Amino acid sequence: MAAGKGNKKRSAAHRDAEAKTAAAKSSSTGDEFPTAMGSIDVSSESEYASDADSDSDLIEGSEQNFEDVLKAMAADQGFEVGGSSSGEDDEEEGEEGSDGEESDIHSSDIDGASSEGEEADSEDAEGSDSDGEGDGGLLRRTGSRSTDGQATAVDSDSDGAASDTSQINDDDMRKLTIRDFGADLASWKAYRQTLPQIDAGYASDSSTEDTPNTIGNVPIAWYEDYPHIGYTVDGQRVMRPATGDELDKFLENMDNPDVFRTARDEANQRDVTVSAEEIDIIRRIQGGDIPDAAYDAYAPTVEWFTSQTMKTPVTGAPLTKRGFVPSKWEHKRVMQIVRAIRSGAITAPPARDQQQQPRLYDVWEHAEAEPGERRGRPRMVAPRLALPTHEESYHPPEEYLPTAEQRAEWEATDAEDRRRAFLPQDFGALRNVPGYERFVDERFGRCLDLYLAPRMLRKKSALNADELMPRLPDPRDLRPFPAAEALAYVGHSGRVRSISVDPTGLWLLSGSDDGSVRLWEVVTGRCARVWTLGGTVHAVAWCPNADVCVFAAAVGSRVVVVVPPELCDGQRRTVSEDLVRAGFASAAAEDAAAADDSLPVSWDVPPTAEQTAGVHVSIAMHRTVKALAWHRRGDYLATLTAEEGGGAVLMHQLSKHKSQRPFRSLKGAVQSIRFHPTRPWFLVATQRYVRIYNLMQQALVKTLQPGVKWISSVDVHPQGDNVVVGSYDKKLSWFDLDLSVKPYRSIRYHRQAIRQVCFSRKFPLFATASDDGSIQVYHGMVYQDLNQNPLIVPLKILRGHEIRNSLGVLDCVFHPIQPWLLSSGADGTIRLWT
Amino acid sequence: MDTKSEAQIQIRLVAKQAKHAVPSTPIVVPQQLQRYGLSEIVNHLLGNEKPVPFDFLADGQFLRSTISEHLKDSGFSAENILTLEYVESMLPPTEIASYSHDDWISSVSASSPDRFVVGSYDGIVRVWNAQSECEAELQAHESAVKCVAATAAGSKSKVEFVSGSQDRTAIGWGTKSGQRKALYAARGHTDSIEAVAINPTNTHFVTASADSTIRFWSLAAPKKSEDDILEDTDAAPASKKRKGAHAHIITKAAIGTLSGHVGPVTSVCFNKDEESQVFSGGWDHSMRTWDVATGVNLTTSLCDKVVLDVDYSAHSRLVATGHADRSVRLWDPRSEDSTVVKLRLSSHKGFVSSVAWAPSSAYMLASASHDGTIKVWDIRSRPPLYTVHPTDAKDKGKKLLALDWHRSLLLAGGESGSLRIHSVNSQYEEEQNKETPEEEEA
Repeated sequence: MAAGKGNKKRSAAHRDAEAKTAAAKSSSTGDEFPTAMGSIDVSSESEYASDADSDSDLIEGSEQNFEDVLKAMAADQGFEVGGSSSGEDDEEEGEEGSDGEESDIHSSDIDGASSEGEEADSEDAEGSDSDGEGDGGLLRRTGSRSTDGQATAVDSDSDGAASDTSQINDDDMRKLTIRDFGADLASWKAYRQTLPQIDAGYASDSSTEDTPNTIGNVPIAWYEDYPHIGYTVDGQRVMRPATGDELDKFLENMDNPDVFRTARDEANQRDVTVSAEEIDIIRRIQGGDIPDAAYDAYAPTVEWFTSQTMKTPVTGAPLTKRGFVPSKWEHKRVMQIVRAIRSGAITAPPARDQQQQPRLYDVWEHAEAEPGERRGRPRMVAPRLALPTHEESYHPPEEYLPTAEQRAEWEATDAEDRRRAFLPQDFGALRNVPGYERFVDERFGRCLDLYLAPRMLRKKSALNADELMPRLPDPRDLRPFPAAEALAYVGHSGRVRSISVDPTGLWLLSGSDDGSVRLWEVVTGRCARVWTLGGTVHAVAWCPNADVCVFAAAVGSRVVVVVPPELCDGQRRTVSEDLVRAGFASAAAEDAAAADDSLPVSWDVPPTAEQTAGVHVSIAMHRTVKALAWHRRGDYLATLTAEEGGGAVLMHQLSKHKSQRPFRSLKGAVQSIRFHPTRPWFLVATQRYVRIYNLMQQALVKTLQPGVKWISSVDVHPQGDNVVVGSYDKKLSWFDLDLSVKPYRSIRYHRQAIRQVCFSRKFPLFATASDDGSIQVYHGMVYQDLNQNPLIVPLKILRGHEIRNSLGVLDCVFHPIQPWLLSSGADGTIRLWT
Repeated sequence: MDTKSEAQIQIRLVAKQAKHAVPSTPIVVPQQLQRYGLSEIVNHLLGNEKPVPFDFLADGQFLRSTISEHLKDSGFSAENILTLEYVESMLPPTEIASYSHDDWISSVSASSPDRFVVGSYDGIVRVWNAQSECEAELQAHESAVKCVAATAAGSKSKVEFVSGSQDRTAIGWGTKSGQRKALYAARGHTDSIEAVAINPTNTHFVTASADSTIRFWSLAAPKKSEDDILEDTDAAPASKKRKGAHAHIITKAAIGTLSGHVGPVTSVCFNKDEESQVFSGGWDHSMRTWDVATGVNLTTSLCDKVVLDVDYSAHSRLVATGHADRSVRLWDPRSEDSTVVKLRLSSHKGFVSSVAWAPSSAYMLASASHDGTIKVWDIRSRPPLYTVHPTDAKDKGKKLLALDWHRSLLLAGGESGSLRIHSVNSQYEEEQNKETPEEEEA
């Protein structure tokens, strides 16, 4: 019985839901004449809608997302809910008698006791009038909403009724115990199959019937004597439909086989024919039977809920509606919170105070100095024990076995003095080896060693020799530079002390100890001219002025200025000779004025024999002239004589035949002189220092300190910012004048004294000539960028000159336009390196 | 090892000279064979009683190693038939005479019929004939003669040869009233004249000078002295001053001046195919092509080294240059990409002072160097064909400064003062001569 009632209730609930859906639909389609119930539906709907509207009004201006969510919720609920909490509903609740009964039924359901009468009542309510069902839904809803206690009662009666939208919390679910279907799964399945899907067609529901008569709820008997049967809402009369007379009725009855089941519907003024099924149902109802013929009242009981608690409850119950419909009450609650947030009743919790948190930090965070290094004393790895040797073998080769004397000797020595602590023994086979009696002693000794013997860790540097080498570019990338001997200019019989190449690069001049100055053709090595001037030629120098063809040679204690007749012709020769000779006139005029000139210099006209050879001026001095230096314009010639003090350096102006002494006194013996290529500076290299003077301001600019004992030579880079200094103590010093007075780099590659250093005027090259018979060529790149240091790369050692009397190469000079180097040596040769 | 030494290959021998042709059927030979072995095979096939030496060409290059090494280098499969062309080998040049001079020889030029004009550093131009007789010693230059150029065969010009000197003049020499004498002195250069060249039709000549210019002159003697043209130039006062020395020689002025070199110009030569085109080389590391008619520098080809001599071959249409870096370079003057050196031949041990193409071959050239040797090159082979060392002990190691290849004679002179005359394989040359036109057609 209980089961039958449960099922019935279930189908009733379905129908209830259907009715509600239908009502909602009819209202949404906008019926012109709603029934009383329909009007309630509509009003409740609209009311709810207004409720939702007010909600949405409230939340207007809030975040759009939340508004959307709420609107969606409202729309969903509006669609689902059959009624709402209007006062009208409450009144109806009071009027309806069956409601109380229904709640009784529910409560009795929970108790598990029910009676047939109650059941029949509920059936009546469900089956006959859908309005009642809708009311029931409303009632339950309002009930659950009004008081909590009531809600719990309704909740606990929830047997899967679809209309029940009140929430069941988890605790309630846990209270419900569901029978395990494991045993009679088959019967359950059969049960499931016997229930066909209910076709919720409109025909089954009178609430959706078309009611053509829209006169309202007025008794039709009032209009018995009138041709109309009522009024429409507009006040128009609704005329009574025409009907036939009794004869027509009779004839019709005779013709109609269904007459016995046709009844007159007075309200709608029409005949209603009841179908066979409906008659069947009526009869059943009249007989107090279950209306559904297919319903098996005596089907085996399916115990959905039991009092037994299962550990893993399984239920085959259909999904509840609340499982897929958003809860209105949740929505209400959310809105409540939203309003509270808006009004400021709920505020965000105060941010966690960081200070309150206990602060954790690593105590040893900074204790470790270097990653990978252990704290405290470094761990000492125990020294390895020596590996066993053949002596320690159980079966050593013969030669390892001690002889009798050795054994005796070993036994005689003190245990501490023995070379080894044991005597090799031959056991023949491993199985014959006895236990080692000294094992404990040895282990103890080892432990003592580790414990007592002082040990220390030494760090070995893992350096490659390659890494120590300076990173220099490959010499092959620094081409061109002189690399091989191309020509030898042979002819001098003495040491060739000085060479010079003319500005065009075609002719080479050399001065030798044999008293001759020779002129050579650079490319062929042909000696074009020899001047024998009677005296050791210490220096020769071409005038750097390209317009004239003049050179000066220091022969003994005089300097001769020569215009070589072979090399120049026409205009150039005239200009050269004029330049050289012009001074005689002016000098003669001035001589009288400066008769007391203390300078030991006289400008002389050379003898005729020399004049034909091109010697036009001879400057006689008291001491041997050791070096010559031309100013870059070619008018001033500086000479260096072998004497101490300021008189050693003299300046001669070629155009005026005037000599002057720029320095009153000079400390130390002057070794070399040089004009600066770009500035009015003059370099004087004494034994230890190179002094740079400004000739215009007559002031000392700088004193370079190469840190060598005896300077031999000096040359200035063509750009003027760098100076190289060669010394007799084999050192080459490169100075960056902008940087320091100390050398930027000191190089000591020669094995003997450096005699000469020279820069190339065109290529980033410089070379040193040494007494060891070799010339070293370097790449000396000076960058325009002041931040970049000069790049010095040793390129090539040129060997070829013979060493005579421990003198090797005496002079070297770069070719002015080609990457060629010319060198002269004590062996009397000049060599061209290309 | 054994298998390798016994490896064999099929070769097909193709004769370049018709008289040495052999059947073209491939023959199988060991891969270890070299030139000599192949030459023996060819002699055997020809049935020569007196063996003729042959040279073999594979892919246009002389075979200088074993066949197997050639295969390895060229990547040619040993399973295919290797085609080897062969030509009769050139015999080594033999020195046939040596004419002694007092001073260094600076230049030599041969003219037909077998007269050798030698310029010397003592300023004398000497004319020798093939019978070792000095026909004339001509002295008009004040300074060393640096260059001489004789007219080509079939000259109708009165001027037989031109010499240039360090005294900045070039003198045209000719026979006048039965006596060789200076016909005119070409003045205008302001520095030593380093090279002179006469065009193939004997109408003009060019001079290259250390004053970085090239001047273009007509070869014919002027009717009257052209001093007035030079009046404005640098050379004018000097010429006046030295009227005494050169009073009897009338002055010639240049037609045009080609300036563009930025250093001394060391060498110049005519393009024998195009009359107006001149090649020059100088200290500025450039080989330039000029149009003398317009005075325009057509192309400038640069290398890194000083150019000491230039020569053009009408057969191969290549320019050979001798360099201070001890190498000979070959240029294709028609090539658009002017910087590319076609071939670089290096074997000398000193400056290559002079180069000369064979007058009748597209492949042969000779070079003379400061190391005292003459090298004969075939451009199909990287190493030189022959290196000619001086036979005279006193000439050993003496610089060679001048070289000329005249018909089958190779003339060279230099520091030692002896003009060395070598004969080169004339037969070989004739054959080369014959085949050249055929190749050009192809």
